[in-house]
Amino acid sequence: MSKKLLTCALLALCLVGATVTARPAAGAETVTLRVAIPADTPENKSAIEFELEKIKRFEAAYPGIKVVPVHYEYNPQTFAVAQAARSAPDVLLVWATEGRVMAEKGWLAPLDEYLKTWPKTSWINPDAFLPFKVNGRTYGIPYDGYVKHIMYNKKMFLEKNVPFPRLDWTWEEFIDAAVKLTDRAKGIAGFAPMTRGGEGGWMLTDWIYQAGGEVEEFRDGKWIAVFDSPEAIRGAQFAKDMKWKYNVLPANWSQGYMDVFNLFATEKAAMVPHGDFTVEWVINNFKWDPKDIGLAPMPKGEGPKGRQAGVQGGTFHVINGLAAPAVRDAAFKWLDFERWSDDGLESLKRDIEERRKTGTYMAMLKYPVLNPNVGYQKKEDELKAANPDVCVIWPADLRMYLPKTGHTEPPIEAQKLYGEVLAPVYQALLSDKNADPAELLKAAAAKFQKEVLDPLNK
Amino acid sequence: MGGFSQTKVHAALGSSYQWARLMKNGGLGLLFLLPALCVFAMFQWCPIVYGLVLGFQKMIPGLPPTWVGLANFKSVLSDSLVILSFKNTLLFVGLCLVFGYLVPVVVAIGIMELRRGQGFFRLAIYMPNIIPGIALYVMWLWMFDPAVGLLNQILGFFHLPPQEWLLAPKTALFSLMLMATWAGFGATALFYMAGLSAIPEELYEAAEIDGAGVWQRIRHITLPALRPTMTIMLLLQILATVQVFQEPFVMTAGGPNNATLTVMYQVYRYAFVYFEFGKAGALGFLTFLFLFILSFLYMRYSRIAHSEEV
Repeated sequence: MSKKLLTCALLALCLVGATVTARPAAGAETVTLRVAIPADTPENKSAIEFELEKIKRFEAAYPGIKVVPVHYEYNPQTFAVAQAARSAPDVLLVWATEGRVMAEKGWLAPLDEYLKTWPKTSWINPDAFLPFKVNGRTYGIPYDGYVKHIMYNKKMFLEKNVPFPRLDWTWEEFIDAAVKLTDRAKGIAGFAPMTRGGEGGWMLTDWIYQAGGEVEEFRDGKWIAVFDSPEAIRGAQFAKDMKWKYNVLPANWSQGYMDVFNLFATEKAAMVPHGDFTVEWVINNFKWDPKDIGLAPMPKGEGPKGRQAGVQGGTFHVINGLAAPAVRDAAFKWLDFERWSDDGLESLKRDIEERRKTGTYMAMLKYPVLNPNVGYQKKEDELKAANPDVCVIWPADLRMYLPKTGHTEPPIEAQKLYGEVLAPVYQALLSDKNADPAELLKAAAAKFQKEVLDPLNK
Repeated sequence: MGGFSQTKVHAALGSSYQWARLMKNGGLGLLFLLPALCVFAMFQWCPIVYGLVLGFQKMIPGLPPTWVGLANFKSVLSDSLVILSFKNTLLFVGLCLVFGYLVPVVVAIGIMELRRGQGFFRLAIYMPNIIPGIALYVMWLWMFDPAVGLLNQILGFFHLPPQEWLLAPKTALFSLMLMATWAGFGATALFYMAGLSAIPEELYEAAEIDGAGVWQRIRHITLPALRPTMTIMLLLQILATVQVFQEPFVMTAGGPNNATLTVMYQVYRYAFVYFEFGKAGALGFLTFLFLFILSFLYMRYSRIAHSEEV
């Protein structure tokens, strides 16, 4: 009996061994690629279906690559945890603000070698790569971009007989409009800026740039905090005057990113700062008529160096720095696959159809990252223009003008600068009538220089 | 061969005997503790130990950590915002002790002194505890609104000047304390009421016969009887308020001008805004150390005071 058992066991072992020996030969060449697809929500149904079909086509085109779709939309909190658990996608879309911090952490794979030989590299506006160029290497492919600007309620402008903003309007015109649009009795603020958390610092830099100031400069091989310059002080003074001199801000001026859009959508703020996607959110969620919303560039600041400026942002395709070389190669193939091709237009067509069914608009204001002479861009614009009931086409002159007013984010520790240094300054200016912008900025710049830039310079 | 088998049999018998003896002496009860021990180990003790380890490492999620000695601790202690966050946190703890510690005691005694409606008031004071956190914060954000908020309406009713509440650095932390006290005093008061109901009625009757008034009954019977509960609640309150995070995170983002930046909020910022997990671990462990020493001293002092009384 025991001999029989032994024979059976040996036979079983042989069979298992043979199977195991046979498998690696096939598996060794198969690369598993984890690809981020939209979050699993009803409104993403069409986009998800399209991505899943694209995966099938990709796997057919590249038999050695197995694609695993992962429902994931980037945010810093979940990404850090996913990286720790090694569950983050190998290829994903991330915010423009994250380029430097992610690259310095080793979370992004450099793409220079791929971009050198990629035919589509020349299609892209070279400036669009800037947020993901870190220490001379490129870590992302731009997907879309925006320049912060002003979103305004046209109905309120008409009611108060205020002329719509010109493309090259100034602080004077902006504040004049804000004063006229403010209606304390109805609880309407002429303008609602973001002031709470890191967004506060982000917003303050807009006023500093408009006055002609900068926040960080590289001089003689060292990084210097320069947001205590006369121009920066002028920008901060303007931010302060909106509350204490002109009284155009909401009574509760402590507003975060989405808060100001809630105020706008409920007609409690006539003008708000805007990036790209929230205009669509207002239109679709609050059933606004797109014709009632106007968009304008940031106004031109005062003083000899005054200019129109808004912080530049957007989203980028990146490859996870934790991915093995073979996976990185597969990821770049995925990034190239059907990109800016007729298949990409097919996805857009389906999105339009889906939105037509649900009665929602496609209204984001994004400036294209491709050069204007690229055929795909023209086709996309034509397709949107042919579907005006779904696609909101913002004025062409504005779309052409906005990129000229873009200002890149500070290259060193932008989030720390916004949240720990500039937001407190903005809040101090708005909570204390006697706060001195020059004094506050001088102290903040000295602190940032000492605690962040000096250690880096060493 | 036979001897060997015999030894094995004895050993097996011995171990099963020991096992049976262990089961008889409460071992089965200990087995029931095992799931809880596993959960606590996984979600409480291991993270605490790992937090300490993190403090000595440069840790980038997904990449191998590197040992950096005391660099994170030095960096954290030289960060001016950490010093400020400790000051803010201690001020918040102080405010919560001054206002939040006494309110539940007074309310509990007040309700227990009522002849009628005890059930209603018990329910009423516990109601804020069942409001989900985010709903609570949003509700209070509106109550603090300087233009249309309820609190300024009440001040206006009494012809008092309106306040900026969360918008002014001087009142922001106080406002958070006000909300936290309102939200949490009901549950604490229930503890005190449980303690109060354990006091024998005869003591009050005897005191009344001896001519003791309400204040004397509270002072000489109620408060001494509540002392053990008050001691532990004081410690728990300090531990909880030192770790204040949600309120500034949701309502003020640490502002205005860092007036509500607390230690735990700074730990969060290190970890999930700047991805500096080593610094987060260092600051978290320093907070743990501070609370550990505080608890130790407090318990020791309480024991000495108690033994002196006995």
